[in-house]
Amino acid sequence: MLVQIDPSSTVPLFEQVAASLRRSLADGHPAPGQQLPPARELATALEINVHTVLRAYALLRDEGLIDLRRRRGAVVIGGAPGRARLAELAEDLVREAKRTGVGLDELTGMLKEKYA
Amino acid sequence: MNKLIRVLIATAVLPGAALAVAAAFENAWAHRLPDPVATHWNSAPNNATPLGVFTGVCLGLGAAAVLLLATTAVTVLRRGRPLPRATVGVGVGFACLPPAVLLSVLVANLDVPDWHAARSGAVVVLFMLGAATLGVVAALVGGLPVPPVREEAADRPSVGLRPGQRAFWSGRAANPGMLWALALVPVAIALVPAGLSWPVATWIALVGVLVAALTYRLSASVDAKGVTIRFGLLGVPWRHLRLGSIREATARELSTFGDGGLGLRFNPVTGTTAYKVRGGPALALALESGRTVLVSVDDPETGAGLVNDLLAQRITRID
Repeated sequence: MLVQIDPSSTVPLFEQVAASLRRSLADGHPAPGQQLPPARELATALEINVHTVLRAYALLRDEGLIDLRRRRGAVVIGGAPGRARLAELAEDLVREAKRTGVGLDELTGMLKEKYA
Repeated sequence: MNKLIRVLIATAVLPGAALAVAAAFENAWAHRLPDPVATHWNSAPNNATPLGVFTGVCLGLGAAAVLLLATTAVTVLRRGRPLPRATVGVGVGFACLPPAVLLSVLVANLDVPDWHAARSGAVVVLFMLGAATLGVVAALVGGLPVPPVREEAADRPSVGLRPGQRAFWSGRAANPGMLWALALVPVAIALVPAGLSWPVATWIALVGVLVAALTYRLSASVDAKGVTIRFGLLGVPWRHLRLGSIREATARELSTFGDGGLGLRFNPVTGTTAYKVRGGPALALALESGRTVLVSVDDPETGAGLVNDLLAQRITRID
């Protein structure tokens, strides 16, 4: 599991942490059932605030990738690799849509058409 | 023939064989020698030593010299330092001196009724030449005149960490099968007729489970400070390797029972410490000291890449 951040980037740190974790989860590291490192350990290693890491974990929980438990910490839930990969692809899709000037409605329409 | 075998032949086998030959001759000629034997000459024999004492001292000194020489040579080799031919030759020559002196004394005292009648001690020159010849042979066999080239991995892993970026990597592996095996094997033996008794099997199983609980799981993490390896359920024992003590990191494929098997394994000859809970991919850390640390965790390529990138940043960074 690799977490990589760039403090000079304009992207908020918690989003960078979440993006890194999402990429690792998509690759299957850590696997479902395993834990993410404790927020304090990750924050110390990256020299960032622990609340930044907790915010990233909360984001991943909202995306249905991890479960935050009081005693067991952040646990990867079943199906996380697939969902993480989808989330990554969706992010790429939105970025590409914005770059080419495609609006949300048009993009949604394209998706609906492909999905049917 | 690899370097280790060459060095061992030169520094242990050759002088060890000389010692063995001297001991064999002493044993074969024991009944043809006076006791004490002449051990000092001044134109004629002028001093004697009991045969057993003289033999013991010569063989003891020879054995100590061989041990010291072989251990030093292997350590030097392991640390990647040069092992010049001259050093090996002189070392082996000196290690062969005790058996050479013993043999020359035995030859001078052979078949004489009393040590006073011993023949000239000049024969020692021949045996000294023999020791020197062995030194030359050892120098040719075991000397490594060119400092061994440090083998840099051809495809050194990298995660593309750019200057200013920070990163953390964590890898882990577990082998729950170890828990079951250590718990169930004594129980299975207890079921075999004339096997263990139930209380003994239960105790062994409990101890087995405890040992396995401490060693069945392994994790490694990498950050700007170095690499931390944690063993077992409680993360103890653990080891931290400073980034400055690491030369290079690679990923390696380990066999389940290679490197001494599963668990915490240390090989003093190769200088390898293995933290292993399974075979398969492992993080291999080549240390500046010449030692190697193997950690059997998942996704070691990424971990090795981050270590290499952090090392590169450390070299190029101006603090």
